[in-house]
Amino acid sequence: MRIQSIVIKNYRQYKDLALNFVDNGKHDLHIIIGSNGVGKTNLLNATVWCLYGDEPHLGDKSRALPRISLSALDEAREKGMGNCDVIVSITASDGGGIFKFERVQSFNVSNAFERKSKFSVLVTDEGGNHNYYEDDKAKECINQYMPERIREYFFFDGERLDRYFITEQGSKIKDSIHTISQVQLLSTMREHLENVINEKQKEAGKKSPGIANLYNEREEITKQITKLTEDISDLNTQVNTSKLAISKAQEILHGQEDSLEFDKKYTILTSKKEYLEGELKSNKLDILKFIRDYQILLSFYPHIKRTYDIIKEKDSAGMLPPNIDKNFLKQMLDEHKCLVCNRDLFDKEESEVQQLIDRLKVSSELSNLLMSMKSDLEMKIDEAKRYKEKKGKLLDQRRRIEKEIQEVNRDINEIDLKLKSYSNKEKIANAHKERTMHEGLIETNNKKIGAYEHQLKQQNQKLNDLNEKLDKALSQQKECELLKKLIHFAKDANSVIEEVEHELMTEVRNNMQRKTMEYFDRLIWKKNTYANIELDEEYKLDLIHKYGYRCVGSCSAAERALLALSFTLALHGESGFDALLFIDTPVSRVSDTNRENSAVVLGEVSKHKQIIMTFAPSEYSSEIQRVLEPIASTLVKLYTEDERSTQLEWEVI
Amino acid sequence: MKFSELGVSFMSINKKMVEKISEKTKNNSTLKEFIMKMLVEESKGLGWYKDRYIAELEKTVKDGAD
Repeated sequence: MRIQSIVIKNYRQYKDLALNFVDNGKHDLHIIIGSNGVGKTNLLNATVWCLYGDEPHLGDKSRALPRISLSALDEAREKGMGNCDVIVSITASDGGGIFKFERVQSFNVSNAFERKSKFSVLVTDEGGNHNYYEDDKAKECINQYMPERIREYFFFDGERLDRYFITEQGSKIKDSIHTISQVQLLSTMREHLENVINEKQKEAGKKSPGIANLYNEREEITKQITKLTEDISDLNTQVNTSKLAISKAQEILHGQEDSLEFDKKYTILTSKKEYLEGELKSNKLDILKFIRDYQILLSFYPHIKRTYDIIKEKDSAGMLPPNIDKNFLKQMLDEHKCLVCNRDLFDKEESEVQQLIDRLKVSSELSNLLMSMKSDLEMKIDEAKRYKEKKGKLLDQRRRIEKEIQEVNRDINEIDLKLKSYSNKEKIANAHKERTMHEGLIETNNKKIGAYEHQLKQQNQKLNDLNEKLDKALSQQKECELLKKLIHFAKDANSVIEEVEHELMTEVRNNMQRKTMEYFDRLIWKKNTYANIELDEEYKLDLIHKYGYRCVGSCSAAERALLALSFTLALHGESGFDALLFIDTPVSRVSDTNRENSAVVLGEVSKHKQIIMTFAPSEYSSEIQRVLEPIASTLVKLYTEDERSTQLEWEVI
Repeated sequence: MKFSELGVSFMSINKKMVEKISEKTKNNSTLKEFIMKMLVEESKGLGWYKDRYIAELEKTVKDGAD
């Protein structure tokens, strides 16, 4: 890709600038000359900003100022505008296509704050067809021709050329080379593919269906179901057999069945008779005891009644002393304290207790005894009153028992008479026994059938679940097969990528080494001084002197810059990104003696590659002029009157 | 296979890389197509790459890759 033109509006010093880089067909070399402060480096910044959106080469002074031109801002204010745009457009070509990249950044005029920005590209193909892309798509476009990650290999600060192999040693160079030659793409792809393979392998592991186990389990359940079904069938057969046996027994028992019932009733009645007889005996004993107890009580009843009446009469008349314990009072006096509340008694209180004792004319013990007797006498009187009631109950009970015994005897006699009329009692009994046994069997077997049927239902449910699992597992097995296929395919792809990556890495390093040496050998003015260039596996570069020693550290700044240039050109060729070189102050670190040589080299390179270079007048010495001016396609001088606005002074094509 | 067939507007993959991939997959066009397609995707800078890889792998396998 080469740049055809750069148009800058309101960017820093550049209020309105248009640079055209027309190729004269021999040397695609373009020279821009400008004093310090005129904005040479900002020309590089404007280019990088347009394509990538940042300004990596800003000086401290520029960094402190807004991106928008100060004079443009003033003008916009005077005109009363609210916004003012910074616009950088770069028209570039590659093959038959024309690309017009444009970045527009709007600024608030009152405070110079950045507002919205837009990056776009208009692509015109060989047939004149236009395609317009914005933002990410436009970014994708520039990345396909001059990738942002390797932009430092297209847009150079001259200082960097000198420090190239000091600051960019080792892995950074290796990474850059792998990036620029796209080997890194393969590494990334391989890494991504490995991650996917691992993930899919895990997935396949999880989906491992264990179908054999499921089949075994299903076989086991099927066996159990078969056994349960057979058992249920056997039990049903037994039930049917029992039903048949019951039916046969019923045929025998038909019409004669009552005999057994009578037999059973006879037994029950006999037992009942035994029980009633025992009850009658017990009743007789109760009556005897009753008579004996009441004989004594009734004979003493008049005396008991009279005694009770006397005590009751005396008590009602208040002739009995209160129930006070005299000894208790005496003990209180002996101990001089109240035995109730345990408090010492005063003399007055003791005197009152003594008076109370004296007033008790009748003994309290006797009073207690009389009251106690009264209670006992009351109980005896009550018991005597219940005599008739108790006697009635016992006699009623006896009559009831005797009546029941009489009835039982009558029933027994009746049944006995009937049983004597039946014949073949043993056969009937056996038939009855058989029927009872089979009825029991049916009940037991039906219970078993119920339990087995429940188990069968559960097993059938398990079988259904298992069948579903098996179906799923079989389906997963198909998925697993698909997964295995996928993993196998991904591994094949990875294997190819790895091989290509390894081969390319080796080739790229060998080619880089060879091509750098070729460029260096072609461009270096000190012929037959250097034998070779070595790049180790970590891309550490060294220059081997023809006498065999390593000499990159002892080279002049011009030779190191040349080495860096050779390396960069080799990279461009090796990567396929054969774009321009924009070098800001390429000979700033090169001594006067080597500037002419450097100029010759750059002129030589410009035969095959667009080179845009900026020079300070002091760098653009007569030696350089002598070499470059005759071959340059473009020669431009920039000037500024007040350092706020840079313009083209003259242009030579 | 041309890059344009991959549906990519702007493409610039190292030609040697493409040649080597073609050489190593000369008997398996499906494998070549998959690698090239993903390489183009990678060159654009993949974010959530897994979904893209998995979708492409599944499509390739379902279409009958060995």
